[in-house]
Amino acid sequence: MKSGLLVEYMVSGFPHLRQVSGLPETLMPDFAKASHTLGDEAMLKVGEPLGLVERVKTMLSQAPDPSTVPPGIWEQGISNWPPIHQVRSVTMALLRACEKVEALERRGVLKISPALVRGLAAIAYAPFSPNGSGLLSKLADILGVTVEEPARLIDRYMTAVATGDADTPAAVDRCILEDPAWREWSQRLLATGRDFPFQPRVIGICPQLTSGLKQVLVSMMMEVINAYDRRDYRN
Amino acid sequence: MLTIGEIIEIEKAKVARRQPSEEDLRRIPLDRPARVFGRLSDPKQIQESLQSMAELADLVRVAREDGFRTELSQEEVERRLAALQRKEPDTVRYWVDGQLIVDLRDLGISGRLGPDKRPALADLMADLSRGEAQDVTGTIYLSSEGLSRLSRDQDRIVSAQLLKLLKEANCRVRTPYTVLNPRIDTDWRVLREKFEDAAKESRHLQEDHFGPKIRSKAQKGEHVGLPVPPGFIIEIKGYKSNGAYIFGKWKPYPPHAEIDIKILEEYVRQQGSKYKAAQALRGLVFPLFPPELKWMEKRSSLRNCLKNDHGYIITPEVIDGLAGQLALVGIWKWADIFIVNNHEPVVPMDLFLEAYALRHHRGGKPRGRAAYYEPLDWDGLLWCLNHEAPRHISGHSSDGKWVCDRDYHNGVGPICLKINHQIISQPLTTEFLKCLDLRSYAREVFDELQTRSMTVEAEEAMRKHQEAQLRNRLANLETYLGSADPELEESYRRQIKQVKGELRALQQKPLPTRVTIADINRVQHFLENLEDEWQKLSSSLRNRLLKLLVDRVEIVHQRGHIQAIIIWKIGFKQKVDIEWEAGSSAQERRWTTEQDDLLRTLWPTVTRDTLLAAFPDRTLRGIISRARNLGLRRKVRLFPSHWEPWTTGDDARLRELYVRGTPVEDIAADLRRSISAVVGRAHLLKINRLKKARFLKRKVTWEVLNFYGLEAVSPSLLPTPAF
Repeated sequence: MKSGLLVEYMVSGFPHLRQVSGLPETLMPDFAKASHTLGDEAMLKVGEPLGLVERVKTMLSQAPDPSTVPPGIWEQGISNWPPIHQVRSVTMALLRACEKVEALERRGVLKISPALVRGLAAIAYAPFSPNGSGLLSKLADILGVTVEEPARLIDRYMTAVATGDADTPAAVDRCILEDPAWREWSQRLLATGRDFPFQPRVIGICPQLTSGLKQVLVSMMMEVINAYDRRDYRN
Repeated sequence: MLTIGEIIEIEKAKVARRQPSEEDLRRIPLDRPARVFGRLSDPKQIQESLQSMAELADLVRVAREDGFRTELSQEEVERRLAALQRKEPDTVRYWVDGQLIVDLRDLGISGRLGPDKRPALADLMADLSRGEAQDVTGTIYLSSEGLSRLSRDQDRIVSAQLLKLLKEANCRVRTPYTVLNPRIDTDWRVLREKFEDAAKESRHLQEDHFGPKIRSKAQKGEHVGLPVPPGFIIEIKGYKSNGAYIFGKWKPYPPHAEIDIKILEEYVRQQGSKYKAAQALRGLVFPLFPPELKWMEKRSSLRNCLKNDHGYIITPEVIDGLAGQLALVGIWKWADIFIVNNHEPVVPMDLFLEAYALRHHRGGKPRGRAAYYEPLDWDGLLWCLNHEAPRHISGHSSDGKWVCDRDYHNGVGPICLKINHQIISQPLTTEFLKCLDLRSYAREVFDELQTRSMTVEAEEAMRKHQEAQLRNRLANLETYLGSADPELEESYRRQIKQVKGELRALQQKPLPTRVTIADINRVQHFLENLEDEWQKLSSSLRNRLLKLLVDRVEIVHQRGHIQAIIIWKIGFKQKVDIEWEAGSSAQERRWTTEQDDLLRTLWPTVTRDTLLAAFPDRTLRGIISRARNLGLRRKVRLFPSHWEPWTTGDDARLRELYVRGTPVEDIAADLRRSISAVVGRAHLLKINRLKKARFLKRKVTWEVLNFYGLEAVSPSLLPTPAF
């Protein structure tokens, strides 16, 4: 496999995935940078416990240069992916869950623990993993939702976290840790996340650069360069 | 070959094509209607100025002599004018007599007024505006006073309009002595000068005649047109010939006078706070004037006040005005004229003096702090939706507060929101910056920075060059001094003075801010880490950026909770739910009607603990204070009748809690003592709180919900007021 090919595929394919699944344009603006930072090796290492590596490697060895793939083929290929209809709902549910977690942490009622990250990551990723159906059905049983509604799994999980129901998150965590493949996957994912050098943005609203905006940004730059220590003084 | 007859025809045609002569232009066009225009400034003049009225009859005769066809006899015209002078009923002021229109509708109306208040002038201007048509007035007959009958407009606008209309309509101006046509250059100049003279004459008349007249009236303490303060109406002494009132002195109007007293009493009770007084008087209004006093509506100072169905609302401004209104105690003040006991007072002197002293003491205090300020970050963007229509939330940067107080200032409600700006600004800024992504503009910003740097350098170079030039010129001029020719010497000195002035002005001009060139990576870093750099920026710049990108922030608030929706200019929305520990600001501590009712029920009999349990957000001191304000009485004692000495254990417990920063109310509850006892004992024992415990920062928490355009947002969540 050509080095960096997976990253190139991910970077080239992400805009098409966003378009086909109906995700907003503003979502995950740092996707390319994060993918490049991570690299093929780290990504494959994380996916290894779930048995993804061989499949990916086989596919990539036969795949052409991603820049030569026409947009139509990209879109058709992504549309044919069975769980594509779940991408939007699961992503939005995950975003809401992250907003909720941040709010709870600010309020001091929740501490972001590895178990919480593991739970959210596994629930969000299981519907898209080829080996995820087993875990998904177990999680659905715990959370009282059907496997056809993975977004609701996240909602239920967050409701339990927010209401202080300690049993449900504990049961979810236990379920993940009992499965050796998912346990390993989650451990590698958490380790990769911990070592990641920057925090990617979730949303990136990029307003049009008017002359007024440009002038303000230049003035701001000048203030910063001119080394005002702190100008937040009050009258 | 042409015949003589044909040549004569050609020559006649040439003559016909030629510009009309001045004689032609001054000739009265008998094929067009003529208009006799009469105007006198004062209605009294109609009866008194016999000469002016006689002249109007003469004008009709002159028109007839000029060749205009009329049907009414001269006697009939004179009879009509006489009837007008005698104020007979059914007199006519406007009639069409054959080719002649006699328009006397402006008799008794000042020439200073415009066509909106002068029907005859409006009619004339409308007629002339149709141009040089056959049925448009071709000649205007004016009395010997000339153009002053048409207009004495002090702004010279009406006169200029008239002159233009007269010229366009080719209309002659006929007085008993002359005919003028504005199409002739010399006549146009004469007419313009006459309009100017008419305006000047009116001004002189005002200064020399009416000014002293008003002053003499004011010296008698009679109404001279000032707005009448609430509590008074104007005495009507009689009527003018035109039916207008002749006013005398002000006299009390009891329905308003009793409100005046209530207002001043409340003002005094509130120690001179017009806002608190307005709050206390909420619901009280100055009743509307009854139909028989309808004429007072335009003359009372209440005409500028807010009004509802019941009357004029009492605003803080009204209260402030009344507290300084000398007329309330019978003192007449006009310019430098003061008359004591001019009219009957409407408020007791003692009360007024007390109110006046409070107002005098409070007012006019200079507040230097407001001389310069930087706006709060979100200034101008916040709107309060707790009202029927959105209200702007103003930022008070001097005390760092967001305030929604329009109702309070208008005296129609309490302060809606008054909150530390950080409670709102911090969550909004955090969430806004989290979503803002300007990294892709690093190159453009860098280029602009370079351009600005070059511009500044060029400006500096230009300035140095100019300065050098002026210095050289100054040096040269100084070498010329000492000339034998005094005129030349004077000229040099003048030039030296001028150059010195220019040099000084150039030196005093502020230097442009120097731009330090950063590399592209620094710009990139800045844009990537705007959140970290944010606090280093001036608030005016932060505010400018926010105003460029955010359309508005809609705020719905209640005690301890604010829901803010940031609406970006590109349509993106963020809902931020903010929570904080409520209960420390005056607005948050305000007692509700339900709480008052509960206090009324509990106060007479229940114990202190029950009271504290019933009002968990309040302190015992606050509850006692409210009970006093409501005039409630206890049936049992609140505190034990005997005083218990402080034990060593009490002191130790006090020291422990006080140093830790425990609220005084809690310590008092813990030790079963009053707050003042706790504070007093701590002071006696010289126990100091830790600095950070003294200035506890309130914790703000929030939750954000970003709208990506995919959600079905309920209308109740996102109100869309009409902005």
